[in-house]
Formats: sequence, C-alpha cells, structure tokens
Amino acid sequence: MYFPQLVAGPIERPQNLIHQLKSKIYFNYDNFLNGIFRMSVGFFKKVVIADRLALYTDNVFNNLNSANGLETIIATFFFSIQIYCDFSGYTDIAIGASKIIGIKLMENFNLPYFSKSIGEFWKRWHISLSSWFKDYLYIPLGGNKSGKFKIIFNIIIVFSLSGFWHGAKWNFIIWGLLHGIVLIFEKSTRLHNNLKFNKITKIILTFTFVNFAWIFFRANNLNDTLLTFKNIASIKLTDTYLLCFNNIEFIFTFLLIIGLFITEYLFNNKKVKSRLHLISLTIFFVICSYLFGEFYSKQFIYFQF
Amino acid sequence: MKGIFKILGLLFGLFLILILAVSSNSKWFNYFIDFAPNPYRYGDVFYYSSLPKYKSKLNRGKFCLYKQRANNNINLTVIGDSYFRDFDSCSFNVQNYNFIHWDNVPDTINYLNKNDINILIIETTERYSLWRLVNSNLIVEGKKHTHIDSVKVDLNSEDKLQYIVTNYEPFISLKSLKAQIYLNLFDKVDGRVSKPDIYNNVFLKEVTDTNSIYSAYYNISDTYIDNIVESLNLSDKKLKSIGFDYIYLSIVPNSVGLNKYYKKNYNYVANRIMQDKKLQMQTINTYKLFNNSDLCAYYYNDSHWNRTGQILWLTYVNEILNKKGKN
Repeated sequence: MYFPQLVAGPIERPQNLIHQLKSKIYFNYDNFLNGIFRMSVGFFKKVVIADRLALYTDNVFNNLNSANGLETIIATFFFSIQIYCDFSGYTDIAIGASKIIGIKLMENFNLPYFSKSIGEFWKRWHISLSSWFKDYLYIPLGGNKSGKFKIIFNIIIVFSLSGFWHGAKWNFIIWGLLHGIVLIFEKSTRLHNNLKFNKITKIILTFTFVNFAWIFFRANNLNDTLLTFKNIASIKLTDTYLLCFNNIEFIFTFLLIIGLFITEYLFNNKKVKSRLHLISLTIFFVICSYLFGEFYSKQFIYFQF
Repeated sequence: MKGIFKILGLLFGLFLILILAVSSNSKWFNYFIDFAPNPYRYGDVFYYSSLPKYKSKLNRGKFCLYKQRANNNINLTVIGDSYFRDFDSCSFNVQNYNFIHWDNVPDTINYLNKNDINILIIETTERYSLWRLVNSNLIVEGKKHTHIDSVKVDLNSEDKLQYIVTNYEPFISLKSLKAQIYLNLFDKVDGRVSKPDIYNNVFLKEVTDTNSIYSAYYNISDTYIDNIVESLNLSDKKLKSIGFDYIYLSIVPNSVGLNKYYKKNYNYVANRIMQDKKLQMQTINTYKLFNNSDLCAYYYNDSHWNRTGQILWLTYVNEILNKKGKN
C-alpha cells in the first residue's frame, strides 16, 4: 500500500510504482525542494482557491430555493474551478510528497480547461483514471477497431461506468452519459476538424459544456438539478450576486482564478531550476495559504469517491 | 553548510513528528496542556477573533481575600461555571468550600454535615441560564460529587493540533495579521464572534445572534420565565430537604446587558428571573449589583467579569456569609 496517492489518485499502475518502491531510494535535495514546492502549490490551490469558492457554491447549491439566477450561474462556474483546484491540489500534494521520498508519480492533470474538445478534455482531466478506463475497459471492449455502433456502445459503457464510479446516483450517471454523448457526437461528425471557430472559441465552448455537465455532478439530487436550471433560466438584470462575499473578496476570488489560469498556462510542466527561487516560492505559497486560506475542515471532494 | 542543513532538517522533522504524535494521542495531549500556556490568557474574545486590538493579558490567578479559613461552621457549595475559575476557598469567608462545575453536577451530595450551616450558591452566566435552569433537577439521590476547577478540553485531533501550534508566538501574531486582513479586506471575522461595531466592541456571536437561545436578544416569553421559576422552586425544596440551609441563585448577566449602548431589545433574562415575585429561592442579584455601580465589571477582550466585577460580587456575597455565620 502506498499512502500519498491512495485516497484520490493519481491511480498508479503497479508497473510504474512497484519497481520504484523496491529500488533503493537516496535523499536528493532537488527532489526534496521540488516536492515541498509542489506540495505548497497544492495546499494553496486547496485552501485559498477551492475552499474559498466552496463558501459560495455550498451556499447556493445547499439553498437553491433562495438562490437567484445570477448567483446560480456564478456558483456553477465557481464549482468548475473549485473541483479542479480541489482535485489537482490533492494531486500536487501527493506528487510532491512522493517526490520528497524519491518516488515519481504520474501527472493527473494537464490544463484540462484549455481543451478544445471533450475528447481532448478527457486526455487532460484525471488522466490516470481516463487512461485506466481506456486500457482496461474501452480497448478490451473492442476500442475504435470495431464497427461504428460498437464504438458508440463502448463509449456509452465507459462513460456510464465512469459516472457510476463517482457514486450510485443518477446525477453521476447522467454526468458521465452527457460526456459520452458529446464525445460520440464529436467523433461521428469530426466536429473538432470541421468547426471553423478559432482556438479560443473552441476552448470557451468546451469549457461551457463542461461547466454545464458539472451541474449534475454538484447538485445534491435530480430535483436540485432541475431547480438549478430553473434558477438559471430565471436570471434577471437586477439579480444580486455577492452572497457571503463583499465586493473586495468577490474581485479577489476572480483575480485568483485568472491568476491560476495564467500561471498554469505559462508555467505548465516547466521546472523551477534555481534552489533559491524554489525556496522563496515555497515560502510565498505557504504564507499566502495561511493568510488567505479558508480553514474549516472541508475535506477533499474526491475523498468521497 | 550541508551538515548544518541536515541537522536542522532532522530537528524540524522530529519536531513535526512530536507535534503530530501529541495531537493524536489524548494522554500525551493532556500532559502537554499541563505545561502549555493557557490559550485564553488574552481573553476568549481575542482567542476567537484573533484581532490584535483585543489582545491584552487578563489579570488571572487565584483571587484570595482571606488568609485563613474561617471558624464559622459555614459549608459553602457552589454550582457554577467559568466565572469561578479564579475563586478558591480563600476567596470566601467560610470553613469549607466546594465548587462543582455545571458539566459535573453530581447525582447527590451526601457529605452535608447537619451541624454545619450549609449554603449553596447556584451561579450561571445569563447566556446559559435558560437551558441550565429550565429543568434544574439539580441533585438527586445517588453518587458523590467530583471537584472540578480546570477547563475541560475535549477536542478532536485537528483541533488539538491547532491548539498546540497556535498557542505560541509568532503564530499568534500571524493569526492576528490574518484576522486583521480578513476584517479590513473581506469584512469578515471568526464565526464565533460578532464584528466590531461603532463602539469597537466585539462580543461572542452566541450572545448577539438573535436566533440563538443563548443570545441576550432572543425573545423570551413570560411563560418561559414562569417555567424556569417553577423549576427553581422545586429545586429549592429538594435541595433544602437534603440539608442545605440557604440556597442562593446568582445569574451573571451578559456584558451587553449592562452596556447602555446595547440595551435595545435586550431580553433581561437574568433580572426577570431573579426579580420574579414567585421565586422562592434567595438571590444575589448581580444585574442590580453591577448596574448600580459606575465601575466596569467586564473585560473588553473576554466575556467574563474582571477583577472589579469579582470584587463587587465577592464583597456582597461575603457580607451575606458573614451574617449567616453570626446567626
């Protein structure tokens, strides 16, 4: 049993992990500093961004009857960011902790919200689970090599099971099916190639769909899902939006999200080489995590799956 | 240089392991509490809010007024709460003093000597008075009491970890910095306290939140007060039947109740109970005592009474005790 990634991934294959555990591990300063840095980034994502957004989303999704249209739309958007920061934050901590002791775990996210299609999204989101489903379910079922209807059937099976893996609730199954259906549509119409939109429009469209699908994931049950859509449809110009935030915190939250996207886009997979920079950045993230973090024992979302 | 870093790293690692071990083991944690500074040393309002403005060391410690035990046959028993944490047998002019915390009210008191003058004071803070007194079957036949005078700590591992780490400088300053940033930027304070108002006062949230039964502004009907009085009268009879000669009720009002700026919508629970004509129990009317005094009886960084409040109350009580001793 290997604890750092046990609870929520990345889901490692034995062929990647076991030989590392068996081989002799030597302490390495660079691994140590990189690991600590990666953990500090993970903590920042979790306590500063995800848990701050959770204040808003929980407020809306647990009180849908009193939420207005604008608040519901904002909460839906916030939840997309929350679940990403929560889950990728945990992954960062797991990867960082492993790195400290000299174990290399696979990456689980690769800028998923910059995907230009749903197919691409699933190559970038929870990579270890998607690739597991691909290798152990989709390909044994016949993969892309069987007939058209068999491919459709395989995709539906994989995505329904992917939804079911998150919990025995209709909401999760519908969430999985929605992704599956859009993927089938993309594949059958070669939508990605045929669409004349530019890259940014494709990213926005994909992100919008993923946002929409997260509603099924977040809502407590089907009734709440319908209520969410009803709220969104009833949006008015006069709707208030602050809820538990004041203007400054609201702007601060948006700046955090923008900062997250820009930083991840610019520095994705780039290593900080200078030890001094690593130490300074780690201290910066630790202090910011404490000063701006929300500490109210909110557990990681993926711990429940 | 590398060697120094190695040793520092090792020491830091050991320190972390020690902290985690202490926070996850209740026995070790209880040892730790014995040596650690009191987290409430700057007051509970500061402890909860962490706002630097309210950080001020409390004048605490046993508050003694009498060097020697009196030879007056008075056996004083107090059922009380944290307001009594600075009081001991030397605070009262009595021969014997027993303190029982509300959390540990025994099934019976079977040590009463019928030859003594047995006096019982039932003290409660106003915010807890409603649920403490409404079913006040205080003592029934059964077991012996336990003497409790320390703060009970019943925390989960995460809280214990926080208790250990955040009880020292520089963490307290860092916590204060965070609280200040949150207040100034996000207009937020810890959920256990109210936001500082125009008079710069901070109160425990449960006292100011109108939806809380502990609140000084919760609407309490006369019927509810009648129930409490009825229940107290039953307790009075029962307690006298087991040997108490005199029983006094003393409800310590919330500090907001005595502040002229916060009196609007105040429910006056303490005063309503203690001045009720149907109440058969004798009272030490702390509300009247403090209200008639020009002195400030409460800390500004803690929800409890300060030394002035303690002196006012003790002086009044000891006068009563002295009279009973002479009789």
